[in-house]
Amino acid sequence: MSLNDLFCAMLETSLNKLQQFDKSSKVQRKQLAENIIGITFKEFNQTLYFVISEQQIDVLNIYEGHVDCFIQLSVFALNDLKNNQKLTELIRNEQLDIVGDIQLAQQFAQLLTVIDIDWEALLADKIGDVLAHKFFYLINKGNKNIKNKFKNKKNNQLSLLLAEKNISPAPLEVAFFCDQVTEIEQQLLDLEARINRHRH
Amino acid sequence: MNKVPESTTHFGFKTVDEDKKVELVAEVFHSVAARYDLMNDVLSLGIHRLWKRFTINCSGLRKGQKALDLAGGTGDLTAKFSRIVGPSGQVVLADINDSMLKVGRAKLRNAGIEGNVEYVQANAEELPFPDNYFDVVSIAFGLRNVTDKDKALASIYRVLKPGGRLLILEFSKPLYKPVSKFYDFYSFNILPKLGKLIANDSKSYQYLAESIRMHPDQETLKEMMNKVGFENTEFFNLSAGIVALHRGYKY
Ligand SMILES: C[S@@+](CC[C@H](N)C(=O)[O-])C[C@H]1O[C@@H](n2cnc3c(N)ncnc32)[C@H](O)[C@@H]1O
Repeated sequence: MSLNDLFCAMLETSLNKLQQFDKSSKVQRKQLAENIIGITFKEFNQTLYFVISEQQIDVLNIYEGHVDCFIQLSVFALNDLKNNQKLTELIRNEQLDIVGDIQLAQQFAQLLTVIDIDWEALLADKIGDVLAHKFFYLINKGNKNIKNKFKNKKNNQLSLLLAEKNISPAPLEVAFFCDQVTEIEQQLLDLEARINRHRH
Repeated sequence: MNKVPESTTHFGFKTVDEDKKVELVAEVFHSVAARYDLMNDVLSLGIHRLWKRFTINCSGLRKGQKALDLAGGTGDLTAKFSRIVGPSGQVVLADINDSMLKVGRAKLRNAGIEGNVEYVQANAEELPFPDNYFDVVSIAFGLRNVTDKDKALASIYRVLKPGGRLLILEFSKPLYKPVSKFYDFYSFNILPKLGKLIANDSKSYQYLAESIRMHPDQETLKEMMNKVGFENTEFFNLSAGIVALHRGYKY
């Protein structure tokens, strides 16, 4: 038993929790039922097998039988998998490799990434309508602000990455920082010189 | 001097007649059936789910195959088996105790598992299935309750197909002294109290603790499997040997 089992367990639980919240996912699962899909994520170098049934998605880390579709991809490409136009680009960039039914891979990506959950209704169940509405009003507002900021960026689907960029300093910021360091260095030298002068 | 009856066996630490053991075990599981799942989660802190997951990963079970979940109780393994083998496969949940079977059946139906699962009341020692029938047989936390373990192992061997696998998930001998000390304390002092608190039944959980102590250790069980014909037998210690998964093949 390894961390892998724990990881699979957590992945399976959270995946199915999300699926439960989305009413349309059951219909999608029914269409894909009985398919077994193997995915190797380039980042982890580990293959996971997704057994789809009407009831849920089971995640295994060993499966010795026939796999209906085998996908090798980068975690970041998962979202683009369902987009026909991007597919060839991904394959060309070696971000993606599919053995088996490509359509199946796309439907599976759809099942995982297009999750239509009415969060507000869910939260309302827990904390009441008024608070839930207020909460989502604030979130939406925040969201809009962020979106405005990034409006001129080409692909705001990738806001995750952009947010990441925002954490690491932009080139200009780095340059500015270096300038400041140089300035302080200079000031220190001046100070040292002055102290030395007073000593004499 | 007291006359020792010819066929006696362990019921926990008490020595009892073999006939009576079946009855006593039945009583234990009748009395815990309803709260069984909750108790499992509480007493193992949820870790039994990981042990079972490991078992499934080691089963090699595939679409279309036949599996037997022996002493299957409330059917945790059956549920997963059923989804893996799909409508073209078959899963049998067998248990000696009809209260456990009923709870299991209700739980699985509720979860939408139907069609490829059958429920059979059966004693592991005399399985009512044809020879060479199953691709995988699992027995999770069940073997220690069985009176004649060699007979059960032989019976399982008979119903397995050539190439089939047996998986035994069971409490075993902890690998390290401190673990074993803590574990003893937990199972004899805390476990029965929790059992009383949650299921209002400390006796059954006292039995659980004692039956775990009487169960053969890793190497002994492996030998027992080899004796009835299993090959390539191996075991994996889980959670520092508190639990072990034994796996053997019939060729
Ligand atoms: C601790 S439960 C395990 C249930 C389930 N496999 C799990 O892991 O959650 C043990 C089960 O073994 C069953 N059992 C005991 N002796 C048996 C026998 N001789 N043949 C078949 N089942 C037996 C009991 O009725 C009980 O349901």
